[in-house]
Amino acid sequence: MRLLAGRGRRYVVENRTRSRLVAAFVSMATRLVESRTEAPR
Amino acid sequence: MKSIVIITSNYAPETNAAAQRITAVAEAMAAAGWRVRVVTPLPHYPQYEIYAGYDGRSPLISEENGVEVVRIRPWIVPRTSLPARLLAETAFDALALRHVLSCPADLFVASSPYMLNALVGLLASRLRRKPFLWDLRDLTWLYTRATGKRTFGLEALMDGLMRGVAARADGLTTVTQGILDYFVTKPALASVFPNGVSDEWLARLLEVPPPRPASRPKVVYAGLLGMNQGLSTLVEAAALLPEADFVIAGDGPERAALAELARARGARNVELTGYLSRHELLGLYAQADVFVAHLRRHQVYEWAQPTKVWEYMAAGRPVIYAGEGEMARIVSENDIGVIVPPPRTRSGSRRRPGSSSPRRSR
Repeated sequence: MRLLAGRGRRYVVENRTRSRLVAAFVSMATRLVESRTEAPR
Repeated sequence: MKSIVIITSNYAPETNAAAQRITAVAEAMAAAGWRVRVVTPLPHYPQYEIYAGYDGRSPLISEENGVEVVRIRPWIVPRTSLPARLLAETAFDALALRHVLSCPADLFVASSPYMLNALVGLLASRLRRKPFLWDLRDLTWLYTRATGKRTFGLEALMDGLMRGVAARADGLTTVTQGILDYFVTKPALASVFPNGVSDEWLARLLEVPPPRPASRPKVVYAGLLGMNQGLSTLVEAAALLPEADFVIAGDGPERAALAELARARGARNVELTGYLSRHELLGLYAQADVFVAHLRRHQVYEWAQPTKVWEYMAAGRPVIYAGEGEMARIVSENDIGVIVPPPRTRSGSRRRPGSSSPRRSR
């Protein structure tokens, strides 16, 4: 059971930390606005 | 200063995954120097009652952590009826549109599970000639039929409409790869933006001590008590396992039915706690020996990754995942718990959702 617990915790820390995920979203939003500014439709 | 307008069905102080996700995004954008306006219903989820302190003026406009939040009174209807949901969303979005358009924006973002928010975002984008990013958490329009309810043809209509929005959006983010792949035609800028656990909450979950040996093992579910979860199976299982205690924490439209089922089965080892604060939830997690998550059997749920499972994992307990698809693969491939196939039901069709739509192959 301890092995399972450690693996679950490690997976979340490595893959599902919200600050890292949100930073990727902010980066995508910024790219979207900048690409529109550079090449307006 | 760049400006963003976000229309979303959930926002803090609501604590569900949708609210946590978009609140974190809005506050991160504000911290990054953006002017941020959020247009959202008055908080009411998951109890489907307006929160105390918010039941006065509408729209209610406030400044919260650098974000301008415009809250509009929602029309609260049964979540299991797709026609009623669409009517309620139409009423909200009609009121929201003015607040979306009245703010100069460089980017419009719509976040689900309200389906029609995407139409408001797309419309505002076209009127203002600014990009539109659709943040899609759920294929909400498919859930009603997946739970065995009638949709009166609205599922196919909404499927075509939502695919059309995805094709016309400038950016698309989804919580899972399965939902992203659902859309055959999508913008070039499309990626998976999974739900996660906030750094602060994760730090507290990682401190939950290991379970102590107890005479009666405690099985815990903590999350929404909705149709999609199919938690009657858990109550039935509890009735067959009187030597274990089952705690079902949370609120939602199925709570009364689950309590009635537990009574009918004589399952006195089932406790329905109702909605718990984060502090109370930590206490419950510390008492748990094993966590369980359950989703009905249907292809649409194979593309789900219930956020509660990340919390379970962070709390350091094994997980029984009664479901199929992406989350089952993560739990299985990382040896985090045990996978149990959900029971077959009459509504558990293996047909690919939306396949009745004539626009499916577009």
